Amino acid sequence: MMWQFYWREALNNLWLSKLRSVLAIVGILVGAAAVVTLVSIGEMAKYKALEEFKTLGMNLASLTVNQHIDFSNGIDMTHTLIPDYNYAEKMLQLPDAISNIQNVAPVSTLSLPAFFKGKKLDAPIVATTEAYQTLANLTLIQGRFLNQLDRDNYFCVIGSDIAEKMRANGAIQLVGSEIQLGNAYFTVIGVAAPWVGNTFISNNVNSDILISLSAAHNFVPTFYVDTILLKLAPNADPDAMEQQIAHYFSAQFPSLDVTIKTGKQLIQSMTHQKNIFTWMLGMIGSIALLVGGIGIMNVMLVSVSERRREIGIRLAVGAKQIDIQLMFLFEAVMLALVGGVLGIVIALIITDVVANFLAWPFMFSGMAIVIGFFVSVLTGVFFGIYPAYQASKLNPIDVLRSE
Amino acid sequence: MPLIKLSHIYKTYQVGNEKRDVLKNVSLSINPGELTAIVGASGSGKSTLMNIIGLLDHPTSGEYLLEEQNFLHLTSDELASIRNRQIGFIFQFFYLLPRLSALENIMMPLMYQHIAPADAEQVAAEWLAKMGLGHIAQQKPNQLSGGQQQRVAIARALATNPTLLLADEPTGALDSKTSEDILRIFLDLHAQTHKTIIMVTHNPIVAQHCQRIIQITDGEIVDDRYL
Repeated sequence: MMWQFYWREALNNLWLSKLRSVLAIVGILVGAAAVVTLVSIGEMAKYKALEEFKTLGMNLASLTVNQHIDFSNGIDMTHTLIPDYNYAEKMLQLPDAISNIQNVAPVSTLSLPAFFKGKKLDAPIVATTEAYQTLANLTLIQGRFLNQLDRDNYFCVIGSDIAEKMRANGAIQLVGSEIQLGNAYFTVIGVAAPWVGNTFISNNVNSDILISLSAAHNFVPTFYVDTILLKLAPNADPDAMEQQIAHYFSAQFPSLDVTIKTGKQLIQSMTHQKNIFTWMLGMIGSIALLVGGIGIMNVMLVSVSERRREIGIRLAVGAKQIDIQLMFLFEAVMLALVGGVLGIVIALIITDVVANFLAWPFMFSGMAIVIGFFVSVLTGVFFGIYPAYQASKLNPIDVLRSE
Repeated sequence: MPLIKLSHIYKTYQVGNEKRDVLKNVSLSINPGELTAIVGASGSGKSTLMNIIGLLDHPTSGEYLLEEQNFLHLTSDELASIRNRQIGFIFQFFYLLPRLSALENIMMPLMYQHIAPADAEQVAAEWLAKMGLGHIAQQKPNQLSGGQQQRVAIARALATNPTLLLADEPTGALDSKTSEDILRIFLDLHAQTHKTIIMVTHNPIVAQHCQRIIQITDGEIVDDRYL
């Protein structure tokens, strides 16, 4: 019942000095909003990272291969260029050479005009191997995927968008149809189901035409393997892998640069970005809370000096020091709490905007609300204690005498 | 047995390098139920004496017994609790809390006894009605006349049912007509309840209505007589 009394008095007093209360509230509002946004965005980022893990699988990696050509020694570059197929074959042997690599699919993207029944298909051509299906997590709705037994047969698998285009152009039976790539004709042997996407695979498989590496080698002698999809052992260390792979190639192809990109690294870089964000918001939040807290302290000190007589009267008629302290502390906490609640609302809006901007799923946890409350109340208590203590130490006769 | 017994009270203030005796060897007994006036020029020490009697101030030396008990060694919180339960204060400038309604002002000392708000409100409303102010319960002090404010203040002093009522110039800020009304309230209250009332006053009419007049000059009692 005493609490009710304190709350009511606090509310009453704050209402009577509205402008000052509002100013004190704003500081806390900014601080609480920053802290709550920080927590909720952190939660979203964590959720997003987990989602990435789920779709990628932690043990997928991609290897980017560049031939660096040194012109300085005057060697004719045509002689230093490595026939790509040679190292593509060597890539296929990676799982045998390095135990932490479980599977491998070299990828070469070719830009050849593709036609179906004389109509141009706007489709990148991807040359790869059988393992690509597993690594890209591709399912087929018709026919089968490329396999080793096809050798250099001119077979292809089409993405769902291509299938759509072909149907629009009058194809009834897709498997068995022929597509013209450059000046060769490829037979469709499989149609892929719509594919959800994968961070490691830069092209959109839905609009791709997939052919085997051997076939590509056969009719485009200068094709170039740019990426290798790898499946790593679950506990493989990406940095060590990179060195091992570089070492593996360096003996035979010293001009190759390999860069590995693993799920772990992706998530690490995401975490790193999140950490920068967290630090920034944390700093803003702390400074705003500090400023807000000092604002509260200032408001309360002014309030104490303005209400010296009131304090004296209360002490004279029987208020104990704790009564006076609690009265002012409740006012400080009330200010902080109003700021905190408004801050939480604003954080909710900011979180929604950020979620939209980053195309993340909007999430606002109870945890963020609890932290927002806790932080603002704590600020109110911390910065309210000193003025409250000052008030309770007034001597009633000093205050009542000064007329 | 006296309600108040002061023996050889001194109160000394240090003003710069100079010591100033505000009260010099004051000894005084007041019996329960007495209506006493303390008169004297301003600066004579009568307010300091009231503050000591009201347990708001400590004497520099001397002994003070209230109901035969010495409270001077108590902590400020313990003194607050005794003031709350045993002493009612009435001030020249009413000293109502401007932010609270008349009713809430009267409730305040009860709230510090941790009485349930509903009960406190009931007691406060009764006292307000006794002061003839039932109709202004929800008004703020600045909406009330001086006489009304002082009646609210009296109700506040009485709400905790104290044994001792201390009034410091209760009519000092009021015109003569209103002063008479307030004096009438004190006299009626005394006649009905026989509470011990001590009034500091400048007003000779007020003093003449008391049973006993104590005159203080320069911190000493120079006259103490029953009428």
